[in-house]
Formats: sequence, C-alpha cells, structure tokens
Amino acid sequence: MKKLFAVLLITTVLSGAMAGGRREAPAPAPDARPLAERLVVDPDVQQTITVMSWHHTAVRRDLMNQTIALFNERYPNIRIDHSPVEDYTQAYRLAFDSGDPPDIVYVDDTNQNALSRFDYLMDITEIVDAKNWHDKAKPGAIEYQNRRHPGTIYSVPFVSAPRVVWYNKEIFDELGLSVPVTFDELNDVLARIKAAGYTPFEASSITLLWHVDGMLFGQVPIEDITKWYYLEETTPRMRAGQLAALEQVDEWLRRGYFREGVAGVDHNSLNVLFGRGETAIYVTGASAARPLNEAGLDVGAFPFPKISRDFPTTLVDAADSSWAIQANLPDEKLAAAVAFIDTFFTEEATRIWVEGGFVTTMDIDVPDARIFPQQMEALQAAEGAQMGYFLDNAAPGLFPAMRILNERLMLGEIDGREYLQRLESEYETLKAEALAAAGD
Amino acid sequence: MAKGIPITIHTLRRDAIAYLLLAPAMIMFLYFVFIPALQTFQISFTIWQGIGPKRYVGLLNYRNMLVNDEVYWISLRNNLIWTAVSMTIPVWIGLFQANLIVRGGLRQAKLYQLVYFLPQVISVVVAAIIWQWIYDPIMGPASDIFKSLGFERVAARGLIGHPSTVIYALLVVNVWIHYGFCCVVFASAIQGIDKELYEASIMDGAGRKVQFWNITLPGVREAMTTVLVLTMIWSFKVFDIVFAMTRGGPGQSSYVIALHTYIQGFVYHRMGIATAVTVSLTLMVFLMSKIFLAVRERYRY
Repeated sequence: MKKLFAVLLITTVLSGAMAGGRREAPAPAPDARPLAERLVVDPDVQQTITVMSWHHTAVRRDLMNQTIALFNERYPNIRIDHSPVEDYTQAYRLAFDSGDPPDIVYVDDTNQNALSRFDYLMDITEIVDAKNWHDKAKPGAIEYQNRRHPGTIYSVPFVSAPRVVWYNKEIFDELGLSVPVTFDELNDVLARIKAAGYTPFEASSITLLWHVDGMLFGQVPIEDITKWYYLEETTPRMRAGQLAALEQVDEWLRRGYFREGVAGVDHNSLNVLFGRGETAIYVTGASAARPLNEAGLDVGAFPFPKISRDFPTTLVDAADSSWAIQANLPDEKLAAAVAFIDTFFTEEATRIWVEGGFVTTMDIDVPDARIFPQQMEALQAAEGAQMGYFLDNAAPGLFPAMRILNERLMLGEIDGREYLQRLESEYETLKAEALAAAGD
Repeated sequence: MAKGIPITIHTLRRDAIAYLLLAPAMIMFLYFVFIPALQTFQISFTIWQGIGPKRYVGLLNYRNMLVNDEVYWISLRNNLIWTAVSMTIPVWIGLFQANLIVRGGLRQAKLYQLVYFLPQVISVVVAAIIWQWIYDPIMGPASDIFKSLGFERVAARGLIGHPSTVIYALLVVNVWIHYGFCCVVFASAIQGIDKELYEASIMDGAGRKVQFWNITLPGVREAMTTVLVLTMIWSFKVFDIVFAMTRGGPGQSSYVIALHTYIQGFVYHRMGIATAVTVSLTLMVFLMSKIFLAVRERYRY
C-alpha cells in the first residue's frame, strides 16, 4: 500500500511535469501587408526589443550603449533590453530551446548554423533587400556570413575580426629588421630575433590557431580550404598544407621561438605580456590596437606572410558575429527589430564602432573618425586582403579540441604529424555529429 | 508513522496534516531533483546535442566512456589524487590547528579560528584569481621563490603551466581553502570532549602527545567521519577551482570528472556522454561513501 501510494504520487507529479512542458501558442495569421509597410515603426506604440549578444566586455558594452542611445534618438518609444553574455553558445541554446528567445541575437557562424538548423532564426533575405543592406555593406560581407546556406540570409554583420601580425618596432629597429613579406623572410627574421636574445613570438594556445591558419591561407588554394571548412572533404592539398603548417609550428617550438611555458600562458594576459616589450611578434586581432595603444607600445602590423607568392593575401578573418532575428518574432515587433539592426548600417554607428577600435564591414566612409596610430597600422595591414576563415569554427567543438591539441604540441607531448592524425579524428567525429544533427 | 503499520484511510485521515505539510517540500524535491535525475539517466542512453531530437543508442555512451575516452581515465586519476590529498593534508592540518587553538591555551583563540576559516569564506573564483597571480610565471611571487631556490625552469613555465605540477599546484589552493573548515569542525568537537578526561590523564602523568592520541583523537571520531565523508564527496565533485584556474589544461592534464562533464555537455554539446559521465560520478560517490561508512562502522569500537 505504501509503495502503491509512492508510485501514484510520483506518477502524478511526473505526468504533470511532462505535460507542463513547452506549449506552442497557436500561430497568428500572417500579416498580409507588403513588407515595406510592415517595416514602418509606429511612433505611438511603446515597445521593448530584447537583444542578446556577447558584447560583454567593458569596451563592447560601452559601444552598444552608445549605439542604443543613437537608436533611441530616432525611436524614443522603443526600449532596447540588451543582455550581454559571456558563455554565449550555452546562453543562446538555453534561451531558444526553452521557448523564450531574445528578439535579436548576435550569432557567429557556428551558432547561426546550429540555430538555423532548428528553424530558430528568421529568413531575412527579403528584409536585407528591402533595407538595401547589401549596398551599405562591403561587397560579399553579408554573403560570407551566410555561405553555409546559399540563397538564404539569416544574419547581417557590421564588424569583422581580421587577424594581423603585430610587431614591436623598437626591437625591429634595434636589430635592423624589415617587415617580412614572404615566409622565408619571416623565418629569417625569427632566427635573427632569437639570436639577439629576444623571444620571437608572444602566443597562447588560442593564438597558435591563427599561426596555422595563416600558413594554410598562404599555401593551400581557398577552394580546398572552403571544402574542409564546410565539412565536405579533406583534399590531399589541404592535408599536405595542414601537415606542413603544423610541422613548421612544431619546429618553431623546438627552436624556442615561443616563451618558456607557453602552454600555460593565460590568453587574457597576452596584451599585457606583449605590452612589456620583451617579445617581437604577436599574431592576434586588429582590435588589440586599443590595449596596445594604452600600453604605450610602438607597434606596427602586417598581414601573415605567404608561403607561395602566387596566393592572394588572405587574413584569418570573419564577421565578429552577426545580427539575426528569432523566427517567431511577433509581427508587431518586426519593424522595431529591423530598425534597431538598421541603426548599425548608418554613418553614426559606423563611426562609434570604428572609433572603438573595430574594423567595420560597412561600405560607409567615416573619414573624420578619430583613430589612433596602432589602429591605422592594423587597417593598413588588412587593406586589400581577402577574408579567410577561422578554421576552428568549421564544426561545433572543433575550437576546444584544437586548443587542447595546441597545448599538447606546445608541451612536446605530440609532434606535428600526430597532431594532424588526432585533428583528423576529431574533425571526422565532429563532422558526423554536425551532419547528424542537421539531419543529413 | 511507525514501521510496519499499513497506510489505510484511517491512518491517512489521521496523518493528513503531516502529509500536507510535507507535500510542498516533497513536490519541490520531485520536481527539481528527482525528475531531473531521472531525465539525466534517460539522456545518458541517447545522442543529443542540447537542442533538437534525441536518438536512443542504448549503452553506447557508457561503452565509449569506459573504452574509448582516455580523458575520462585522466579525469578519474586526477579525482583520486585529489581525494587522497584532500582527505589527508587539510584534515590533519585542521586537526592540528584545532588542537592547538582549543588545548594549547592560546590567547585570542577565537580570532585564530576566524583567521584560519577566512579562505573558506572567500569565493573560490576570487581565490583562483589570487592564486593564478601567485603562480604567474612572469609576474607572480611563486616564480621568484623558485628562481631564488635555483629551479629556473619551474619558475619559467609556472606551476600550473606544466602537466607534471599542475594538479598539485591546484591541490595547494584546495588545501588552503579547505583546512579552515576542518579546523572549525574539529575545534568544536574538541571543545565537546569532557574536560575531566584531560584532568584525569594529567594526574596519571600523561603528556600532551599522549592526551592527543588517547583522548582527543577518539573524542573527535564522529566529527572526523563527517569531515572525511564531506571531503570525499566534495573531492569527487570538484569543479570550480580547476575551471577557474586551468580549465583542465595544459592539454588535458588537470581534467577532473565534473569538468569533463561540463566540457562534453556545454562545450561539445554531447549531452549523452556528459550525462553518462555524471551517472558514473554519482555512482562512484555513492559507492565510496557506502564503503567508507561500512569500514568506519566495522572499526567503530
């Protein structure tokens, strides 16, 4: 009897719990008005638009607040409720899967792919056309972010994240070094820096990814890299390039071109470490211009040298992330959400972000923007280069896997060849998981 | 209700108020603990990425965890080292200090107790940041100490920057945080020991050492059991120190089971594997606690 009572109680609560899951509200009838009409904001209606992003650092929050203030100058009736989150992949998944997504979300390529697979994001192809965002963005910037699903646009970027090679001008001047253009010149420069008693590279297990990617873009045709990135296949040229790049990094490590104990270097302290002026070269984002400026270091920047001169200069680069709208946004909120994103396509917003140290994807000139010398160096290094991929974004989970492999390579636990074998195994596993999740 | 008395309409009516008062807590427990636990167990038999549909794969996740997952075994080894160290060093330091505070006739004993307990009060994340700075190979004082002792390479790579030292460096932080708790529990237990026992032993000519082994130690047996069981459970569940200081690195050398669960579940989004590891962790904690208590019971008298 006692057991029966317990079972009954549990069953009752369980069935309540199961039944209490997410309930889909009946879908409202689609708005039959023309799109242009639906995108007009009613100034008399008070609304709140929720925005979730990973603009969580002090600088990014400040720039977001400035942009929101700019938006509110024109739309005082719309409140933007911005939630910046650090662990954004998890936060986005929880928000969408629990049925309580933000109206607008700032997604990178991997998250956009994951969310769009489950129809969580709105197809904004027609909106992009209606708002002329193509004309305001640099050619190809919007398409680049949406290449995994040709013909459909889920998000629009506004800033990008090119990786450049920063160098300490004082060390270069002292040793009489000039900026390397070819890979042989780079190796020569590194040897001379080491011989002079300096550490050539400032790096962490994260920035090492960009050394490898940089070498790949300088010797493997972009078609082969694209096939690998979009989980199609690993071509023999891609594999050969990966092996060559990894063996080169391994050799640099063995020659002592990185700081002792590099595997344990905290990625977040790299700007401070490079700012101490003890290392000569630092491969990282153009957005490091601001902290390097604050450190008072005299630095220059150049694109990662190419192994083969025949290849176009390609930077490890992608949209910083990109604005997307949730799929089930109520129609009455659509105009406000689009208006908020549209704010980023204005000269004023572009100036805010450029002056904040970012590289914009907008085809909008802001010649009077106040930028500091380090930022100018980064912009010149990125000038004319084509966008490459952050290859660790090819599949969810590849980044942490490659970071661990980098640390093991740094520790000497594995060499370049074993790294590649393990990477191939991880890649195939993650590829299978990604394709299975996509229902392919 | 006494054991063996069947539930009848009569007893239900009689105990209705008791059941009513228990109901909110019971429903909360079922809803927030029992059902999620069942769901965790259920997910461990699936492949699921945290969103979208689940696919049932039977025992595949458990098989992969035990046969193919080398990180699981690295994590388990680290957890065992963690448990062994945590169940000895901070416990003995705590007991020694408690004995000194209570029996040593120290002035301002309460103040010492408070000071020793302070690391326990500090947030683990704050402690991690403090110790990260201490261990920093370039700017931290630990590096200077190692340099002055002639250990140049250890100083250069940092204690948490190398697989051979990282887990022990993290354990130092754990000992620093945890011994204060042991000290406070033992101090309270020692204060509860009948003072006449000490007075009688003095009359018999017993010194402090004899008093410690023959009166204090048997007197804190119950407290010792509590401290050891709690320490063992905490050691198997440890996550915060490792996550905040190394995230399992360098490489995978400081992975522990709870971190492995987190990485699999929330970084790789392999919820099936993550929950399988969680189930194994729960079973381990349960079994180890049972074994410990059984051994403890056996040698009780």
